[in-house]
Amino acid sequence: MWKYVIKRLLLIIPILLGVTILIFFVMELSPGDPASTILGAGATQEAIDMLNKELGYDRPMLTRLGSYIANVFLKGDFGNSYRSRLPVIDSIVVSIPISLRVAFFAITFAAVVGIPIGVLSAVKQYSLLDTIPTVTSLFLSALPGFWLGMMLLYLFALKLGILPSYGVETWKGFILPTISLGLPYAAQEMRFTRSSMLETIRSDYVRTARAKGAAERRVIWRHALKNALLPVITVTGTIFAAMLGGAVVTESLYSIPGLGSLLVTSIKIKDTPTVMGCTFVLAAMCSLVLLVVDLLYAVVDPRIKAKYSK
Amino acid sequence: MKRKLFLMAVITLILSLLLGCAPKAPDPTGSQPTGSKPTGGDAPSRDSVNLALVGVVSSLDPSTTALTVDLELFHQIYESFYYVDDFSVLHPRLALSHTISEDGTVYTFKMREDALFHNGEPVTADDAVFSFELAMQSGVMSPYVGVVEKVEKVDDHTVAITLKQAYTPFLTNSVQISIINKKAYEEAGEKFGSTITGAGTGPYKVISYDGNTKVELEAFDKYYRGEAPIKYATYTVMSDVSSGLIAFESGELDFYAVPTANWDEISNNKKFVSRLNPTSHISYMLLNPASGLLQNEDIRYAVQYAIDRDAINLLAYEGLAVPAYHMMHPDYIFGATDDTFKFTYSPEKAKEHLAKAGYPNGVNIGEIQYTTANYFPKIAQTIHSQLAAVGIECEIVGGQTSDLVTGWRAGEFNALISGFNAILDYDYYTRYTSPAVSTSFLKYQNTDYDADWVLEMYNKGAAELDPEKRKEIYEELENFIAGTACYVPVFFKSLPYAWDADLNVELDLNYYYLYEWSWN
Repeated sequence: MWKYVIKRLLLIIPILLGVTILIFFVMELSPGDPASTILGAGATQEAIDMLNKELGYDRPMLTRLGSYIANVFLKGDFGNSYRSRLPVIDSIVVSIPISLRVAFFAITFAAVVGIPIGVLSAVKQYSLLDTIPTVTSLFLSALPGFWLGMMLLYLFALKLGILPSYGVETWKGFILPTISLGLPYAAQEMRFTRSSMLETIRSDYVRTARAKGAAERRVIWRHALKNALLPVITVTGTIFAAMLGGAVVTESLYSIPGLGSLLVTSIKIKDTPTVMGCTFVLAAMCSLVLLVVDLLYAVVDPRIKAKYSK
Repeated sequence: MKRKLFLMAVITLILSLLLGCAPKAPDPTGSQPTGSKPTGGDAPSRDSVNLALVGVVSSLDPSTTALTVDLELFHQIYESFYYVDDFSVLHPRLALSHTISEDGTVYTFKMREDALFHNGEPVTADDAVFSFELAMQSGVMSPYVGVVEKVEKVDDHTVAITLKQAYTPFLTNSVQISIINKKAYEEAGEKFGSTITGAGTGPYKVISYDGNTKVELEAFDKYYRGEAPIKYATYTVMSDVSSGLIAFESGELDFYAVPTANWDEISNNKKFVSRLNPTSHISYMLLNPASGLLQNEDIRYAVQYAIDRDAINLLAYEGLAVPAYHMMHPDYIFGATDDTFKFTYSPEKAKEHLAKAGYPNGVNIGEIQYTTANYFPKIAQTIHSQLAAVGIECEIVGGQTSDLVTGWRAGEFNALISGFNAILDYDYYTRYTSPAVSTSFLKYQNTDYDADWVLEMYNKGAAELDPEKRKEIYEELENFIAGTACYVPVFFKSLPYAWDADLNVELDLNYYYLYEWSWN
């Protein structure tokens, strides 16, 4: 099992290298330069050229890429932001906990809401308790996240005035972003759980458990659900990884200074070191989350653990 | 056992995340704004005001940025020798008076002796000299002080600035230079601009700064004009205007720049006071007289006559802007008048000039680049259809200003649509029309126009000390520039502001100063 973990950790390195090179070229190929964006249209051309030189932007592209890769992989130095001139890692370190919290609350909400409803829907297949959640989940999956976020703001912040419209300085500030980000994913969780449960409750061992006289509740929650959760764990982990960097719309709407906001702001002003630092960290976090998901499999399913041990 | 250990580790991780989001402990210094509304009595209802910034703050260093978001903060934190009002009248700030030598090259400023920086240091001539020298090396501020030869300390509160030549707009330009504390700047080093240093002299000081999220200000109790009526100001970065509007309507923000699409709804709401504030910001199109078919003056005339400014105003700015027939606002900019040559909407004349140019059945003038910020795409689309209505075809191509501006300055464009905010002297127009200024998009190169004459007139206007003679020079220059039919002024932007009905707000052209605000 440890061999597997180490192998997976080592595999992350070429992934991060690939991501770094890809993002670097994407940023380089986009028009504009950092000095023009930082200084604004009113700055003289001489000042723009001088700042670009100061930022090292006048060096050849491959030289900059090489020196960046060496600094990151050998020294852990992501360089300084073109905008603030402060180390990129400082901005990222401040943003990560906020994004982690928002993503964690959202995924918990999605799982707590989606999984039980999915179980219910599967157990009561073809009834109203199945039809209503299924249709609702289709509707929620199709909803644009921005629209949902705006409607929640309009209702709870403006009309009812019971929740703040921006910021996450208090626990109340997390409620709307959690629902806004988590609700569409709750629909996904519900559908995956339903599908997985339907397959499991038709299995031979579940029929055997019923035949032996076990209570229906015990059959569902103790026998069927555990096996049904395996694919749901994978989906939950993937969703969490997506939430970490993909909550840009939510972060922008609720003025949350997370990693997604930092990334988008940096892209707009062509702050390449910050963009690359953010994508590097996001790629690393996603890879680690997926590794944890795979390891959870071993905890939940002894068959997989035995396979790892071989 | 291993499973239990794993589960305990997961629970520990979850608890650490949850505990990490607990509300902050109260500030032990007691300097945080209360924001609450006490009732009754003659005392003001609140001691704080909440505002929004539409973008991140790039720096607290006034010598490195002139972006709108940053300036909004700087106007509260920093000051210059003078403040200039909407009608170009100077009001003393860190300088009480000044003299100008007979030849107009030496400005001697007598500074006030009771001004302090936010860090408690007294404001002296050394700080003024340092600030101007810093500006002279700054790419952003150097255009305002490019004419300065040297800055010298005469005594602890007197500064002499010698210009390379007589330059009358210098005083108006000098108000753009913030006086900062030399000691604080040197101590902070590279971190000046990203940390709180107390280097300003304005009525508010920074007490909390995170450029990505929030900046908190507190009234400076030792401000020489007296402490501001509102003690605290909190600026929150809110890049999404829809959610910012909701925050304003729900009372979480006290003052907001309302999106034009929501103006009717907000201005009719009795809970708020609203005002369309005029600005000198001009949205325009520029036709390159050295490019392709636009070298033909009649084609440029045809384009000018095809532009219906009222329609563009309605479609791009909800009718809230002021249609412009000159690039420099005749009501606010010294040297600009409404009496100079201008084009008005006339599709018939547009077609006449097209025919005269040899294209009675229409022509394709090529590409028009436009900045994709704000309402400029709508301006571009409207202009595209107005030109098509008179037989002029074109392709409109959008991009970010920062990506396009270098090419524009090199003359590598056919036509462009953009905007700029002029300060209060006609001489500012050199940035966009002088052959000798690197930021200018119109240098008259490779054309039959006399670029040397344009430069000579600008220099003459700047050197002239008599205001009436300056106006005559600029009138002649404006008639010429307008007559080349290169710049197509579209409209002067108005800023739709709204605020809490209990808040007393004063607004200047282009900006505001919290010092003049108060709560009922």
